[in-house]
Amino acid sequence: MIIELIFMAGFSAIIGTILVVAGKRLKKKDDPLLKKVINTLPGANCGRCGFVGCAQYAEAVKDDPKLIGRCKPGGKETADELCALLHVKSKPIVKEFAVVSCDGGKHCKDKAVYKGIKSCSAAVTVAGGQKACSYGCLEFGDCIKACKYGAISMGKSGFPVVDIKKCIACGACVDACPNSIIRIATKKDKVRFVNVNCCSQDKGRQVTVRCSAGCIACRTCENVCPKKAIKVIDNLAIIDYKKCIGCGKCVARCPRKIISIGSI
Amino acid sequence: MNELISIIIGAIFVNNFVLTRFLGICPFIGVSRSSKPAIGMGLAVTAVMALVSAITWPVYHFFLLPYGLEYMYIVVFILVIASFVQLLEMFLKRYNQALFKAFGIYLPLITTNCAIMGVALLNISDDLSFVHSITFGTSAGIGFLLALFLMSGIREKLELGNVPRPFRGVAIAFITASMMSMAFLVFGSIQ
Repeated sequence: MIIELIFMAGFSAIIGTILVVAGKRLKKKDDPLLKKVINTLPGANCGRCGFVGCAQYAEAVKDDPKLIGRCKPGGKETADELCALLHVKSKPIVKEFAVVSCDGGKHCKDKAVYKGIKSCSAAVTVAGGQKACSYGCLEFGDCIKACKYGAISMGKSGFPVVDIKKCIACGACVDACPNSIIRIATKKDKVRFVNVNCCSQDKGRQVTVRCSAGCIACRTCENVCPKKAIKVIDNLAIIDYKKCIGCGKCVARCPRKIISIGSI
Repeated sequence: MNELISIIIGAIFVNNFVLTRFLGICPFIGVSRSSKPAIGMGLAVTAVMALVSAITWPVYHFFLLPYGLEYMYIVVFILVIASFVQLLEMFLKRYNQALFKAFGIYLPLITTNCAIMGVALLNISDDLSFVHSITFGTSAGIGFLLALFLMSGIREKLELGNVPRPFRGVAIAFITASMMSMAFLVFGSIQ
């Protein structure tokens, strides 16, 4: 009995010592540059860059500066800092954020009274939701619940509004919206961001009955656009962002006031 | 020499660790979804099996047997294997990054694998010599690699096949494994 105890204790002690010593001896020397790169990153481990976490991204970006700019939460500042750390020229970063393309809310009539679970995805299963327009916002705020960064809030007019400063374009709200009225948009440098705040593909007549903030496919915007960047497809105005120069002529002329222009 | 060949053939085909002895079923089902990780896991297991045989044999014959402690070999082997795999991981991380990345996630999985323990215990119960036990460990690992690779090939094809809904996923994998096991019974006639 005693021999066994002594033997096990001694044996474990020897193995433990070997492991500890080996652990200390074999520990990789910390790379100071890697540490700096990790400290530059936000540390949110969101995975938007395509790597598991910030540490893995740091390791990859250290060896390949082409990967700079993948970090969405860090945005331009992080990218600039990384460029300075790794001694490469900084390049323009495209800002990405979520856009809600519906101004319905109080402008859109209800076709029924819904008393079920307060959730968009639940409401949409009952005859397409309580709203008269089957394309628009359901107003229960699934996107607000999905946003981990508090970037979406319910606006005064009854549809969600994105705070672009807080939005990191993670896409959680896009997945949460059952009617797919939210998308991730990119904004080019020095071009004001124009958006058509309607998703309805109903015909003009039906839209006027249902919602006072819906696209009626009048083609006014199409006619005023100097670059032919906006087109009505399936009864809905759609902007080609490759051509759009952000002049704002369509915004001024839209009879329904549903095209918005930002100064971001 | 004849004995060595019979050990090698025996461990790979006749008494295949997975398909005849039913050891190491967990990685066999878990890592066999596609062939690339299957090969990685198989190679890691082969390396660890060979090294573990080389380590546990002297531990048993020089430490346990002379002091009449041989009945404690299971506890001691668990300790030795677990710490050895840790040590191996540290070594690889420091000196061979490529190999560490290839083995990386599989090494910790191996620590508590029954197939590894099985090799160490069978070496003792079959009363093999040092050279024979290393040969046995290596060929057992190759047998494991073979079974895992065959299984992953079949499962890759199964992904594309039209499997009835109740059998999809792990269920069909178990049925496939049982059929492979029956096929390997044929090798039992080689004596």
